[in-house]
Amino acid sequence: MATRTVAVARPRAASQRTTLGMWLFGARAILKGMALTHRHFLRNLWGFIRRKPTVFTVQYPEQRLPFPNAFRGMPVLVQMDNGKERCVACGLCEWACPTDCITIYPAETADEIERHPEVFDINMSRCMFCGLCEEACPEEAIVMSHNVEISAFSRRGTLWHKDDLLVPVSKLAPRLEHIRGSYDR
Amino acid sequence: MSQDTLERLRERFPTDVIAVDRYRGDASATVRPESLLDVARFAKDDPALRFDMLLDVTAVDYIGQEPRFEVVHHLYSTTHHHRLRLKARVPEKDPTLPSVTPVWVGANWLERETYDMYGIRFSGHPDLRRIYLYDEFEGHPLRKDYPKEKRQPLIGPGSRHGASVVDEHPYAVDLPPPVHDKGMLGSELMRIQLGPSHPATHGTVRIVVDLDGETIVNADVQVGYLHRGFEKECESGFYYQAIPYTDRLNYCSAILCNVGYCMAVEKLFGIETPPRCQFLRVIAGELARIADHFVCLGATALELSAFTPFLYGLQARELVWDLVDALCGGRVTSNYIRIGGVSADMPGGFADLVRQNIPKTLHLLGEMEGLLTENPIFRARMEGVGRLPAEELIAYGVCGPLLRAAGVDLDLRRAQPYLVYDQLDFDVPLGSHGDNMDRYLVRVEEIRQSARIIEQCLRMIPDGPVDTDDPTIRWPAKSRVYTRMEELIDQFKQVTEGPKPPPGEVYVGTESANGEIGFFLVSDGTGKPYKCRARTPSFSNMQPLARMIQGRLLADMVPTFDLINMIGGECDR
Repeated sequence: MATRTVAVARPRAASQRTTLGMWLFGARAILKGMALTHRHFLRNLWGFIRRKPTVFTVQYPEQRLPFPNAFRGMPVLVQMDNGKERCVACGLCEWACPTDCITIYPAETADEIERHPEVFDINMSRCMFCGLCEEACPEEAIVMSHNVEISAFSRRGTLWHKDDLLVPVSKLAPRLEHIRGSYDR
Repeated sequence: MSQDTLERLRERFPTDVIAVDRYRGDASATVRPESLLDVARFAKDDPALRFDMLLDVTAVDYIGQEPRFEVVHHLYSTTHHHRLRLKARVPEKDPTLPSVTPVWVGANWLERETYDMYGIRFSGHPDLRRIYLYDEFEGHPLRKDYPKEKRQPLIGPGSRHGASVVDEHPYAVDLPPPVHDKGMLGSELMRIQLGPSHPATHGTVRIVVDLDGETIVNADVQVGYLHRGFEKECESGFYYQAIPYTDRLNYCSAILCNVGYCMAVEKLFGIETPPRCQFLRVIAGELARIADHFVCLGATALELSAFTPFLYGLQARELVWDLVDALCGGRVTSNYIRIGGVSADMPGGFADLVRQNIPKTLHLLGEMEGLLTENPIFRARMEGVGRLPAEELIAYGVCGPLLRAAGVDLDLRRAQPYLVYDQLDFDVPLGSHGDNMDRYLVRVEEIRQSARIIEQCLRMIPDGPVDTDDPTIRWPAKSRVYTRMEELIDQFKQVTEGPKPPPGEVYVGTESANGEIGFFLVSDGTGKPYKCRARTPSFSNMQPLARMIQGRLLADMVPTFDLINMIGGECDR
């Protein structure tokens, strides 16, 4: 196909107009702009009267927008139905993490899956929600959730431990479905 | 063509050019350090070469070898559209190289950066100060023997030097001597500091200006307040771990940085991506370009006190970011492109969502234009302001909408088509005056063209895989990782060792929203880049700002700075 160059069209320069023409032109441009903003104002006012708001702004936190399935919020650990984590403490997410925000101490248990993380900490002040941990995980044990409201009053509060990170598998169904679709090809 | 370049150089300088090399299509020539300036002058002036633009100066630290440092210049010809890498080695004992500032004035900042990061001194440089780091900083951080973890105290009270630093330099900086040191009425010039945190310097940049009344006599632009060691970080991680960091270069159009980086790594591997992947990259990249231009236009209007167009611009960007969010999973930092592919295919219904949102975006653009383009106040602040001749812009290494506004037809999507841009139909808008008005109009038109490109891509996108099928590069399919031993081992190897490209060095330049973003990668055969250099448009576009505003009113600084669209993350890396 073809690309070509085009010259941008500039408004006529002042030297090409008379002073009166310049004034009229300027006045027209300003009136045009005012008409535009007033149109927006009246439309929004009409929407307000009819109780069908046309305003683009979302009144967070009272109103919330739905997240798309692909959305990556904070990483969480998948909790199996027996209340245990699915993680086997292999450490791949620790390797993949560019910011080194994950800390894992592996340990052994008497359960059927005999390896688990004794400590699984994520430093949320360093995490950048890139999702590489999720992509690296061979067990579908760490996934990105839709939770982004993780502000804390102290730096200590940004350190999330294993118990805080566990989320029941039933709540993560849309995300699990999404990653099965996108990482399986 | 590049064979001719090298042969011509060899022919002219049989003894000074030590070695020539072509790797994956990149022409590079190593010259003797003492003859660098002659070769550079020839490369610029020779009609067959005509390398009028210096894109980048950087160095590579080959620790343990002698000579230790290799200073690398990347050249580009705006007439012939070819590239050359000019290299010269300097020893560790006396790392001095002649400066190429007499040939390309834009080498000024680039050499200052190389001096700052590697400690290489450039003889004949007019103003060899540190550029990113503060004067008291000890050592040169990109040298391989500078540990990444090393911490140094910041200057100011309580630092190594205590309060004495502040006493000696009471927030003063040494500027190059002004054109004249007395004002019009015989009074002294007034020195004003704009920034680093000034509402008009969004991002952090400090502009020190000497004023004669309202007129700027002399200006010094100081960048580096957002420097966070991008290159050092990249060198310490695997190739795939740098992708989220490239998001944070230009956070207004992160995907374009992703694309540039991943294309450079792919060139290092010598692989091609499947067509569907390339179309997806173009779609995502053009969405990012639209978002970037809206931020630039909106912020410009805002800082000229026009608040309404800014809100319309952000609303339009929000509609674009809804699309980016649905595609990539993140609005600002998308982390979408992968080496050899993309992270996810288009979700169901994405094409419909694009066809629904993009017309709304263009409608908002029309409203923005209606408020601005013909407005007499806006025009008075834009027309004839910030002009610089095209030759000077080229010498400074300026590219992107800034250069196109000066009438130079340089768009890498057209000049050196990559991905699938050669199959697409789009216009490259050019300005005629090179002032702020043209810069504004070029960006407006580019939004429309990007929308056209997206529409065409959605129509043309073929079915098929979105990843290269090379198992040494892309991670294995997850369902097989869960169930099969071989793929599980493969996954562990891929994550803990990273894909390993063959040794070599490549440069890939792509057209980002503000100009050419280039990645220069040096591989030593391991899973981590030996050198990862980002040539960012904001840095080179910021350099001529001081020239653009010289002799103008202080108020003219604001729109000029805004339309350069400096992104702190990209400029300061």
